[in-house]
Amino acid sequence: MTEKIVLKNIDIPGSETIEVYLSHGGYQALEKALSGFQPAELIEEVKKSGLRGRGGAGFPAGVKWGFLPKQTDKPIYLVCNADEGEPGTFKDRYIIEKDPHLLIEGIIISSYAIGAHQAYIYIRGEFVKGAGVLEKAIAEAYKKGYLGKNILNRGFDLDLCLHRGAGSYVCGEETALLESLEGNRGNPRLKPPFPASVGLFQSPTVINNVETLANIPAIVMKGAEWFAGIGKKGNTGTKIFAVSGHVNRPGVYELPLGTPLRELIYQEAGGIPEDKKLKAVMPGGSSTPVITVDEIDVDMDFDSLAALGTMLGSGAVIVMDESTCMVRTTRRLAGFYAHESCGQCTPCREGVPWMVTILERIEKGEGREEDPDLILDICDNIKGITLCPLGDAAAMPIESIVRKFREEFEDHIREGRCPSS
Amino acid sequence: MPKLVIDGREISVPEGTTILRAAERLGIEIPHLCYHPKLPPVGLCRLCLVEVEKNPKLQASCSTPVAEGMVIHTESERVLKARRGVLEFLMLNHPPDCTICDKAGECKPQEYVFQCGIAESRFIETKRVNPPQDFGDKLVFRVDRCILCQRCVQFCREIAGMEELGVFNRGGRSVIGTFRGKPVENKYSGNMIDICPTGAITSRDFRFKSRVWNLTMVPSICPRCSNGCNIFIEFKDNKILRIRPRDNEQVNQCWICDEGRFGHHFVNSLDRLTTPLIKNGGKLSPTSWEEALGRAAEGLGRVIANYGAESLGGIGSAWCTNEDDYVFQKFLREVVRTGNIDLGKIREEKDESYPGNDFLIQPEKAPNRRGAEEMGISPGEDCRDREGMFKEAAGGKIKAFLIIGSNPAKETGAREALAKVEFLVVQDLFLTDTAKQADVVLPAASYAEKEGSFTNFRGRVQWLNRALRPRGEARPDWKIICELANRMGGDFSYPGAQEILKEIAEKIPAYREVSLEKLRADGILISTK
Repeated sequence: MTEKIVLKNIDIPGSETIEVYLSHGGYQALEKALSGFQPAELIEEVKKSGLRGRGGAGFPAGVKWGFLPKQTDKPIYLVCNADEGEPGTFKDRYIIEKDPHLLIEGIIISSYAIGAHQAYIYIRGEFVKGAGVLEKAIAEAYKKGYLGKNILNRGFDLDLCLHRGAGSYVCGEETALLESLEGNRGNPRLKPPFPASVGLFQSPTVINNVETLANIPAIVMKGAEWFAGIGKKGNTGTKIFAVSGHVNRPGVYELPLGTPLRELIYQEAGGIPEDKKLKAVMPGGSSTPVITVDEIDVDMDFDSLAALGTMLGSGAVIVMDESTCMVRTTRRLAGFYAHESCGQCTPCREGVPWMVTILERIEKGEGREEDPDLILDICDNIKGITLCPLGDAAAMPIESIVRKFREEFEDHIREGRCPSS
Repeated sequence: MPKLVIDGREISVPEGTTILRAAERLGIEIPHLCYHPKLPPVGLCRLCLVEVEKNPKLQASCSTPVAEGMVIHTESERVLKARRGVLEFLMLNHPPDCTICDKAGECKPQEYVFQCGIAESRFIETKRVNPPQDFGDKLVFRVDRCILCQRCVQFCREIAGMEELGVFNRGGRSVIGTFRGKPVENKYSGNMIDICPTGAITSRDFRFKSRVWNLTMVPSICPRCSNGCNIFIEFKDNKILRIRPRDNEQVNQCWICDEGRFGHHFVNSLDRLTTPLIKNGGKLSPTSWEEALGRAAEGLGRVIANYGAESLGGIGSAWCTNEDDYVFQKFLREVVRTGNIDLGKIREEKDESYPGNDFLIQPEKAPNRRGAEEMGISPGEDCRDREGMFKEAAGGKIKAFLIIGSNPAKETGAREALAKVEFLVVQDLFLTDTAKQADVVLPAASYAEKEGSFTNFRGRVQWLNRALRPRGEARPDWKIICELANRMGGDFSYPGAQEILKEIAEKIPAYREVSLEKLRADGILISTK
């Protein structure tokens, strides 16, 4: 079994308490970071580790930190994106609920590295339990002197504040998250400027995903070279895969990046119930283009999936067997994005609900021959045109399903009903 | 200055210029809906996307600043595809009701769809209907025509300074609405009719009155306060149907207040005086100009002959043009030979409690107080000012008044004083309380019915063009005075207001730089004292 980094503690009883965390080596990385590293050296270390953002875009974390202005008279903020809302994704929840101090330690070290003295965790509103666990953990960390003034007598101050979201998917988009955190309606902002220069309260801001930050203590403890040795070149470290859908053992699996999808589904997750045939996989959450059964030998890492025209995303693997109606799946997907569209920009606000009505028609048996091409063209008119990535997130999977399962749509239209029901 | 190439043409523009603005300089209009030059770019409509070479994604030209060496395409196949796509999206739920929409002819989406040649809709679904929203008395809001560009929301926040509109709900259910059903109350709300790119916000005052292409537009100056906002008078069949702002960066940018926009109905009022009136047996009755002017000249002449020129007083007007007031005072000084000249009282009003940004409206509720004074509407040496004149009239020393464009009968003391004088001539648009007391009432042309200039409170002199034929037999004030002067021994032979302006430039030092050409452009700031 491979070494675990971010889920290493989750099976230990009481893992969410600071006592258990400390007894398993917790906060030693913080001591090492504060005593042995200058902030710039830490950024360099994270760059060398090759750690890429685990929230979806896969941008190198150290490079992102490096985008902060070298000189600024404004405070620098670190914001932890814990708004885990991508359908199929339930990886950060494990860290939050089972190992909150790993996240907090990661936040403190990262804040030290980027020069932040105020950090926020923006947690998904539905994570009531997680919010409670984090509140308690933050209080414990303050009590032990890991947060607050003069941390570990090293002269570093940091306050950490937990902020609960109000149930909007788009608030996982970093600029909408910042708006929400400021107390405004969670609408994505026009970019540029990017958060590194103008972020929270108009100040330089780094926004990192929970899993990204949870990797930082191990990189500090064991070194960038050790981390870079896990996974593949350019895709280093482990990744939590949240496997759901038609598998025998749905759940979270922390495996090295580059683990083949076939291995993940058939070995780790125990294969498909009743030995049904695999039909499609969304490899990185509901926003990622689907993979067909012919493509499941792909390695689960950023670059391999990109080469296949899809994305690692959040690492949420949604498995669909042969019984799945792809028209219905697409309609459900489109419905989700139409519901969550903020409505600011035209293509997302108008185009996505249009696809919903077309897909509903096809499902009801009122599809027209031209509808599949129409959907593809609508997707083309949304992709890359919208204000924020939500439009792409809606269009990319829909386009891929219509392309790869076109005959299923045509069957629906021709027969006026779902052939598999 | 970054150098870049747009559609094959090279241009250098200052650092920070957006692509859209740079293209404008080359005469290239990149279609846009949410962007407005006076509002911060929000990048919502996605119509202004252009292709920037080496950039994988199309860029919003309204918000992307230029950079050295950029190569931009505004009409490439990719750009046109995206543009058609966005327009199609915008039209999905937009009603095809151009035939009855007030915005038709001025509607941006209409123009762009026409340009793109989108003839057929691929949308066969039922159009979305969001709940109606009420914007109050002045504006009619049609939620189905709204394309959610948020210009109106931004206008309230950024320009009017009163956050009265917001976006409610989200996604396809998003609607623009007022907070808790409150009406829109800012004093500049009519500008939202202009900046709304569609017919979502229309004017309750103007709607259904005319197709816009049947209106004639004449540049003029708003007479409602001393700010001198530049306007277009838009009319049909000799009736003003609407007033719209005319761009002048020095004065009003592209805005006007609601008072100026909707307060034009006095011009078309049925209560306007249409013929001269003379008093016979205590009653005013219509008569010809010939007879009325004869009676006025005779009456004023008799008072001068009997009591001397100092027994006559003249009240000029801050509502009249410089040309009117110049001729008026010239008549009094050179023909009558009196310095009893002053300005009618001007209503002053400052709303201290107004929560918004009162950026145009001046407390002085007349357009030309400063100009009138500079034309010489002020008492000569040892002569009476307004109060002095009325006091002397009450005391029996002043025996006659010539009053143009003001209504002193409303002031305490003045009414009684006016009742005592032997002879009263009034020029006005309406049968005011003062006119009712007059022996001769002469119908004057409104600001929309004559040429001339106003000087705003800052000293900017600007030109009014004649839009309408005067109501009934009404005449411009200066013309009436000339007729009167000529009947009383003067020789006032101005062919038009332009010749009076020339004389003003010669005679009044502060106005020496004034010329019709300059006034017709952005106006000219006279040298301040």
